Parts: sequence; structure tokens; C-alpha cells
Amino acid sequence: MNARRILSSMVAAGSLLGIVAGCGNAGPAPTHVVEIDLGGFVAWAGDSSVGLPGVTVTLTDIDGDTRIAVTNSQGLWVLTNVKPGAYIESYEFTGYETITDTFLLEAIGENNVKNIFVSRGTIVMQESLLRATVSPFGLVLMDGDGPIDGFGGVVATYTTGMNIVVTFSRRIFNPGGFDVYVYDEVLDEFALGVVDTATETTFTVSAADIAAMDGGLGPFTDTDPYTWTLFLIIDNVNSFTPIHGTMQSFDASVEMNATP
Amino acid sequence: MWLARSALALAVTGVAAAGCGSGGRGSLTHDVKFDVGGRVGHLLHPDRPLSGATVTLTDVGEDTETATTASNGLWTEANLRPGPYIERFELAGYEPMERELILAVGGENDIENVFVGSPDAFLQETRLRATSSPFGVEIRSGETYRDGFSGHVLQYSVAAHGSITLTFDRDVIDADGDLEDGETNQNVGASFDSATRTLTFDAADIDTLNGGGTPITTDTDPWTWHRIDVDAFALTPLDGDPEFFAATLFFNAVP
Repeated sequence: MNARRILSSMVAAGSLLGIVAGCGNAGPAPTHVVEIDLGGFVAWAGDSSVGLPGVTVTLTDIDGDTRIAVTNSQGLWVLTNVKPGAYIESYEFTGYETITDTFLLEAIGENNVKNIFVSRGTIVMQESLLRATVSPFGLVLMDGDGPIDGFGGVVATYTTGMNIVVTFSRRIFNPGGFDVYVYDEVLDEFALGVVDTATETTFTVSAADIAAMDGGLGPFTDTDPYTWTLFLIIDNVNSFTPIHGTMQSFDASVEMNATP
Repeated sequence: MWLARSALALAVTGVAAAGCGSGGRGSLTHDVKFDVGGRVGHLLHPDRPLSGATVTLTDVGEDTETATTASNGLWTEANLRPGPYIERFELAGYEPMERELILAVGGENDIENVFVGSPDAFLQETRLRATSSPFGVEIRSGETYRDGFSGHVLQYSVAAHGSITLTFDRDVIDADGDLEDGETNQNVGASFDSATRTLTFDAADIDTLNGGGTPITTDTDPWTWHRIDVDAFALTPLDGDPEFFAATLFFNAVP
């Protein structure tokens, strides 16, 4: 995806070069205002030949003013008469991850083309990714995340009596069994999460099971914020994307402190 | 494919820029239009041009321009405005192919007859397909079909449905299939009738899949699928090239 975005920017840069690379051997001339048409193609990441109709493409300028296009039945979109400047561009479509990026629509140098058109290339959108909300910490995890208590605004300090509840954004499955648990690294003990079989979206690691560690003494605790000894582990969780049924796997962890 | 598309957009820009230096300063601007062209060939025999293929360019307003490939597979379309297009290549006996073409322009241009090359397009012969019963889903090679996703409905009723069949749309040299109960992992094979081009999972086998007269497992959970794997071997209808077919169906079973 990043490579595609970079190449997409290169396309835009190429267009700029077309403007910049103009002649430099002539004398002064009157300047003129340039307005630019731009557009591109939006496709599903699972098959980049499949255009996505109905995607909202928004350019927002520094003043917050917006220009909006919607992809047609084949995934094409165009915006006309856009002024050069700095923009935030976003691609939004229900059921898919929103893409947001900076887009600098530059105009400099020579130009004698009236109907300037800048390509934004092909943008590929993937279906909504699985997310897990961890209560009581209020963390929202995505696949591969590993937040640490005390960093990046994360507060994940365990105190006695807490249930830890992990709620996924949609139904999950794993024929081999789920692995959501709290692990005490000092004691080398586990407290397993129990899935709500009615919905298969929620796991609960109960306070009672965590308290049962170390023969009922509970997890190792201290007041040093730099000794993360308690981990929430989410492993071997899978789900299907809602539209195309693409399987997504999910692994994440949270490094917690445990206080008395 | 995306890289090729990006390269094309860059090339277009390069054409537009190439005019700098030869004319006066651009105090007056002018519209640029493009001629576009390319070649259509055979996917498995790339040196072989395909003549008579229809090339349709559709713009964002869904207006179309159409060309037909010559005997050497070449095509051109003239006077296209800058913008994004969908290129569609069609030829009877071959799978249609679509891709995007973005014509970008900026800077200086003093070329009257701008021409941009579209990358070669290679078409493959019409692929083998199978129609599944009772699901009614058309099966294509390389695809996976899962009940409840992508608009597919693949539900089997033990009481109402009998055999499960897949009928190919043309002659097949050989075909094989396996049906596995997703709960018990018990499986049954299929028989292939070349005369009718039909692969059949017999109702009697499905009804006794789990032994002792126990049929395939049924439930109302939409996320516990059974699985059918299908393989086939055929020859393409025009050139007789080998064609391998493989597809997977995940279906639900109800009483």
C-alpha cells in the first residue's frame, strides 16, 4: 500500500515536472492563473482490477473548504478546476478502511496547457480491519499492535479486582481454539480468557482467575512503572471481512503494570 | 499491473513536457488531446496478435470511444481528452479484460499530434466454468465461494436437496471432487460423467456421510461451513492449450 501511495505521488510529481520543466530561454512573459483537473481510479485491494463505485473522494484545503467527488460505476473520479495548494485527500467508503493522505497540488514554471490533468493514480482500499477494544483501559487494538503502559498516552495498569474484557469489532473464529489470556512474566502463570459463545466477539479474563495466580496471592505487583510484568496476549484470532469474506488474522498484546 | 499504469501516466506527462523550448512563452494556453494506441495479443502465445478485438475507452462521464484491432493486433483511438478511463478489451472466444488508463497532461506542449502508447493487452481464451446445483452459483477456476459472503448463497438442505452437482460448460477430459464435513472432517468423493460434463456428489453418500446412516452435519450457524474442492482438466476450445480448473466452495447445511 505505501509503495503504491509513493508511486502515486510520483505520478503527481511527474505532472509537476511537466510544468516545471518548461522552457527557460525566453524573456519575461505575463503570468496566468492555473486551475487543474485531477482524478484517478479506486479499486478493491483484493483485486485491483475491480473498481469501487460510490467512494467519496474529498480534498480539504488549509481553510477547511472541501471539494468532493464520488467514483462512478467503474471506480473513476474527477475533480475539475482545483486551485494549486496543499490539501488533505481522503477516500471513504462504507465497509472499507478510510485512506487519508497529504496531497500537494503544485504549479510552478512554464505552462501553456489549458486542460491540465493530474493523475492521482490507482488507490486501493481494503475492507474494514478487525479491531479489539480492551476494557477497562479503553484501548483499541489492531493486528500487530503492542501498546505499553505509560507510553503514547496508554494507561494499562492492572489493579486487583479488574476483569479484562476484549471485544472484537465482529465475530471471530478459530477452529484450533482461541488464545486470549493474561500472562504474568514473573510467575510464569496464565489466566485464560473465556469467550462469549453467543456472540463470539467478546472474551473475558476474570478478576477471579487473575487473582488465582500464585496460589491465590494474585499477580506479581510493584510500583515501578518500568517493570511491565503482566501481559494481555491476543493470539490465533481470525475473522472474515464482512463483504468479500477475506480471512484476517489478528495478534496483539498489551504490556501492563500491576499495582497492589 | 499498477506499476505499468503509473509508468503510463508518467509517460504521458513526459510527452506533454517534451514540447518545451521550441515555442514562445505560453501566454496563451491551449487544450491538449491525445491519440492513444497499442496492441492486443494472445496471453499464452504473446507473439500472436489478435485481430478484431474491440477496445472501448470509457471516461468518467461514461462516454465511450471504440476501436477495433487490425490484423496485426494494433489499435488506435484519436482525440481523447485528459482524464481517467477504463480500457476494455473484448473478443469472441476470449475473456474480456479491463484496466484503467489515466491520461495526464501539464506544463508545456507544442505537439499537435500527441500520441500515447497503452501497454500491450493479452487476452486469454474463455475459461472453463461450472454451474453448481442446488446452489446455482457459477464456478470459475481459482475462485473460492463462501456462503454468506460476496453475495453468494450456498445452502444445502438435507431434506429438500439431493445430489450436489457441478456441470461444466464444455468438454472436460477429467474432473475430480471432494466434499468434507466441516464438523466431523468426514469426506466423500464425486463421480464424473464425461458425457454430461457433470461431477456428482451422490445424495446417498451425503446422507450417510458420517456413517451409520448419519448425514452431513446440519446446524443454523452460518459460520460453520462444509467444503467442496473441485479439480478438472480440459483443453481450451480454440487452440487446445491445457487448462487446469480448481475451485473451492464453502457451504452450509440445514436439516
